[in-house]
Amino acid sequence: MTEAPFNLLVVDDDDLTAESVARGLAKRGSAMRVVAAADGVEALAILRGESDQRLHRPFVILLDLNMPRMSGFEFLETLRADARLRDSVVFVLSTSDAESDLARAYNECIAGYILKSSVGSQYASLAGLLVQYAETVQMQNGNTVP
Amino acid sequence: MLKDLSRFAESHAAEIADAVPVGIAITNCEGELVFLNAELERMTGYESGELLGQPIELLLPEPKRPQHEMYRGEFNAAPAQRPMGVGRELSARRRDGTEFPVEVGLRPMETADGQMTVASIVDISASRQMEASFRALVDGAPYGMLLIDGQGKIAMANLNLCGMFGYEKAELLGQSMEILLPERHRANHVPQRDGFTAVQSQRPMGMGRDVTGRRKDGREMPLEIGLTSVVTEGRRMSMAAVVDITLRKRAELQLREANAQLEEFTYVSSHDLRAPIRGIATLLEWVKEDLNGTAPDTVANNLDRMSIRLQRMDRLIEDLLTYARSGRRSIKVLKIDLAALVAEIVELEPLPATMTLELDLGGQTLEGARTPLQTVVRNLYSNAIKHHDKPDGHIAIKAREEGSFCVVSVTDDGPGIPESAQARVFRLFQTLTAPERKGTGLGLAVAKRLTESHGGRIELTSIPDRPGCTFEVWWPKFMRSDLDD
Repeated sequence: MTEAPFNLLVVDDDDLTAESVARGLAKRGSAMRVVAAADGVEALAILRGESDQRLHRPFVILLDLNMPRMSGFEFLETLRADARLRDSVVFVLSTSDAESDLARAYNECIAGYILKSSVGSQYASLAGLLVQYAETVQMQNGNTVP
Repeated sequence: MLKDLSRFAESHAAEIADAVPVGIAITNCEGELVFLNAELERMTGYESGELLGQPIELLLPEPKRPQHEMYRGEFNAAPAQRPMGVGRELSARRRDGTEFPVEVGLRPMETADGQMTVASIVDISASRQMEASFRALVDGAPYGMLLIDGQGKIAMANLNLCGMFGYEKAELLGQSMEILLPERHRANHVPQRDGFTAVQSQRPMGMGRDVTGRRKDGREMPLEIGLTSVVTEGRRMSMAAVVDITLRKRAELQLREANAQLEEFTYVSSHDLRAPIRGIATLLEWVKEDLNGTAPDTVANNLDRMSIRLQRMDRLIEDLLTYARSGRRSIKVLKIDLAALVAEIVELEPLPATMTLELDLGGQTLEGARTPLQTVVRNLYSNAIKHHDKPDGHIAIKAREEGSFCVVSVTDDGPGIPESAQARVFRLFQTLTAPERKGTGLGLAVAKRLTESHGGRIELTSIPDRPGCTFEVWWPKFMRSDLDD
């Protein structure tokens, strides 16, 4: 197992999402680490180093939109307003195919909008996509979030 | 040409008078009839000459007689040509005592035998009856009717309109019609009304917006109003036909709310209900993965049974959503080639290799919503395969034209449907076979609902003691205005 080029932060109130992705990655022999956050508030705490969970740079965020406390959109707005986090790579992972949700998400400079229904049962093809992404895309290096 | 015209007139005066279709009576200053023409005798039912020398009062209803003698005196004092009894309804009395409405014109005449009065009398029963019929027609109309004069005053209102607004007829007549509007609309209405009266026309009122009326008790109601301008007695008037559409509006609102609730239910079902089921299915897969073949057979077997039930539940929700959506009509109109439509169905769900399929679609094409029709035929075709009890089953899909319908039939030679079950096969969750084997019992319910909401019908024929059954779908070949708005 070689060292992964980036880590994953999965922000979703359904804790099965993160584990699904982790299991999928493990099956493909990827060393990518998966950190789970139940909503925007928890995700921000992790990113700002205010949580027990550690996330090492570089990282990619998989973000659900419909969550309690802080929704995906609120999280995105806060993220883009934070000078130290605004360059984060974010993929939205949602069940909503509403045009308005897509437009609003892309307006926050996301890297892509992935429909949960299009990545197979148990996110099987999502793991494959991430592995390929890691192999192909050059990430900017960074340090541990303070 | 006659030489002496005045002599001619003189000698034929009585004949001329008899030719006039109006009753003529000439009285002397005592009110005695000195002349009357044939029409007056006919009108009143007296014999020829019977009335001569009789007082004119004989032709009046008895209660009116003393007063008439007085009026006659007044006329003689200042004789002048004028209509009689202006502003009053005049009646004449026949020989048999019956009465009839008349119009009377009076004219004084100087003669060698003294001052005379010529009365011309017209029987107006016919026009009175016409008027009464018109009034009955107006009052019997199933909508409110209103006649407005050039000044915006109510000249006529029928019973329906009075009831609608809660007024007595007398309270409305002569009132400004703005009394029927909410106060906030009154000032604006006056120039609009003037504008309508100025151009003679015919149109619905308030096109594209709701017209609101105000009842006597202050409550407002939505109205639909048709306007037309008419000329009566030389004056231009506006006639309005008014319908209270409260019930229609209420039904529309309820329908909108019901649809919104259904929409919400559909959303909740598809997201909130399915997510946990999918979650459980995922967890079940992980349990199997983590056991990695080490589980005892009974545990593995039970895990599989759980998976099957979860799949069934997921499909049930999916089918329920399809059913909920099938009440809504598809508004997409396409030219449908039945052969292509059926070919797609067979391609998606191929026939088991041992079965045979017979197609006779007769080149039928129709115009309408494609997906609903395809769903209906697919459900029937799929049922025919699913419920077949023999490996070498035969299924036939045929189509024919019948009036404005295209009839698609799906026939199989399977087990058939017992008579006792035929009525309930179209209801929700009715399956006639063991649940492990077949679907959720929604396929026919969806087919029926889709067919009916698109203006068609579906019929089942299954003859007892003979194999197989036939479903016939009557699908309209064209869109209909009452269904396809």
